[in-house]
Amino acid sequence: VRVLLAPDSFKGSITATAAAAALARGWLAERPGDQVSCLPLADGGEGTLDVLAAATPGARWHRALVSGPGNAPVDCAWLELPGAAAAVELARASGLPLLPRPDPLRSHTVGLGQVIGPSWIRAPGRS
Amino acid sequence: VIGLGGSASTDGGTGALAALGARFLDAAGDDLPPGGGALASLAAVDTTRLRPPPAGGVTCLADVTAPLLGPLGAAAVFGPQKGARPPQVARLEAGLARLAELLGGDPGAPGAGAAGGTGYGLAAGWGAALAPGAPELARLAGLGRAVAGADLVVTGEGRFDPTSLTGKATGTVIAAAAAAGVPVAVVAGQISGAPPAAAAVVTLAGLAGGPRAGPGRSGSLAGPGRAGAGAGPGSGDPARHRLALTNVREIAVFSGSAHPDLAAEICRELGEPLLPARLRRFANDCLEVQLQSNCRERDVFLIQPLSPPVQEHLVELLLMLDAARGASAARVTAVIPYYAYARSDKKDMPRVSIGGRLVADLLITAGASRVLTMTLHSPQVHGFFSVPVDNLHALRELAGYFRGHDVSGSVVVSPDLGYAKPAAAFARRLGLPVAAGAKQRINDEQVAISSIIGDVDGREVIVLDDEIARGTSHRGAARAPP
Repeated sequence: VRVLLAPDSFKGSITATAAAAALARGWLAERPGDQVSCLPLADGGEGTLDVLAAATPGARWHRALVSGPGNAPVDCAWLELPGAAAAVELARASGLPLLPRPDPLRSHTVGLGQVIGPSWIRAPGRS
Repeated sequence: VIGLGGSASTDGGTGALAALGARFLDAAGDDLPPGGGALASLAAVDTTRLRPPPAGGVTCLADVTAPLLGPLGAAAVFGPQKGARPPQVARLEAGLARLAELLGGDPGAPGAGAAGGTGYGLAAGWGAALAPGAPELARLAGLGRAVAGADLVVTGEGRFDPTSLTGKATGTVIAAAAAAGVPVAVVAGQISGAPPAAAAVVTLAGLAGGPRAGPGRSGSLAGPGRAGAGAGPGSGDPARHRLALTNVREIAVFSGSAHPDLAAEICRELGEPLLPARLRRFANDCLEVQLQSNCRERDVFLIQPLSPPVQEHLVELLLMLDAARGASAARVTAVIPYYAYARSDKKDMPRVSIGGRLVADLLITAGASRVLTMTLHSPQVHGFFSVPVDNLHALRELAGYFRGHDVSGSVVVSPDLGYAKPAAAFARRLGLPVAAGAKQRINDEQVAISSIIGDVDGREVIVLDDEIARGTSHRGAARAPP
């Protein structure tokens, strides 16, 4: 039997990649003969870059240090895609889990803008 | 490409635009502080120094299709998830409305409300195109091809609800599987609303006996033959549940020095290793604990009854909690089969400490995110904890023991009125009458039982109590006048 495991992330619990791996472990523990493949998904939020990285041959990870949603520095990874393109993920720069406690009025997306800057300069072949 | 979703803020993307060179000014011409709370005082937007977008354009992959404003907008729907109370939601809504007045664009576009309005901000302020993220990412990941080559598809997410079917990853998978005629199963932490008829469904909350588990919605995923057949009733067979339960985080169990044998036995029962912890005593009598195994993102359990020497064991547990939290444990459960300080639960004399409450606070401050205990001396001690507490008891097991003997003609006696309620529950399990002693405590070690309420004359007596220090209550109960 060929089984495709294609979960989204379980928000606040585990990433889509970890969920797919856990499902695969459990499935193979019961039915070791099956052919199991993992295709973790995302919707634009957390895990988006993981999906893009897995789906894009030649994608390269970079890192940038940016201001998190509460100003504390955040080590934010972004992805250089072939063809002079880059992908960034707001959740990695300005995501809710990066705050020690929610701060609805003062939290911000400055970090997203800061990571867009370098990603766009670094992506080669920009006209 | 910009992935939008999971944001902490509701700033309409002004933070990102400011980092790219735009200025958001108040009536006096000063820069507004970052954050959605300040946007209501926005008077002007200066984009003269905003960096131009890349020549290839900008695509935003939005996790939701919400508009910027209104009852379905970024503030009203998602503000509360980010900690905003109703007046703060109103302030954020006013700020976003003010931003939309000055920036123009289309605040009603689907996805404008994504990531606290960042979808709108990047579209209106930077010319970004908004696209629903899930279908686009599924296409890039090659979902269609992968589904076509499968006999069964399993998808899932933390919470599956009707919106999951509209442009979310799970809905995209279900649609792709339906189009290819491949059976699909959904694993979710929680299901609300009716799941689609085509899919078999397992909820982790249902498996774990969670409060909001939908009746009859737990299916079985063990055999793919069944999984495609539709949602059956929960089978209750642990082997069938094993697959879905592997989604739960890995656990890590450590023991303090109070009762390592108990911890070892618990671990044997669980089939989990008891992980090593090192306790060191410095020359100045201070303690240090090191958990000698990985805790990162694990579900950590620390086993330590507060048996004598209580203070030693308590401090040791506090240090273990601190160590686990410092090691980035996902959740830390203090397993305290004997919560000794539970007896100190009220100010029954002037100027006495209430140790039960204080120790609860200490445990939480040290890092306990949940407490597992047994037979708390009084049930209200449960309320001293501001984290979840599971207060287990053994009345059923004890009753099972007595059922193996002839107890007809016996009576269950609680040595004091305070424990009469559990004693009555215990007596009901055995179908016996109950009696209680009227106890007076003279000091910590001495009590007097003046009389027994209830009929004990000529009967065999089963005394039920939660805790014995020296047994004086029970000697008193045995001697008490009927």
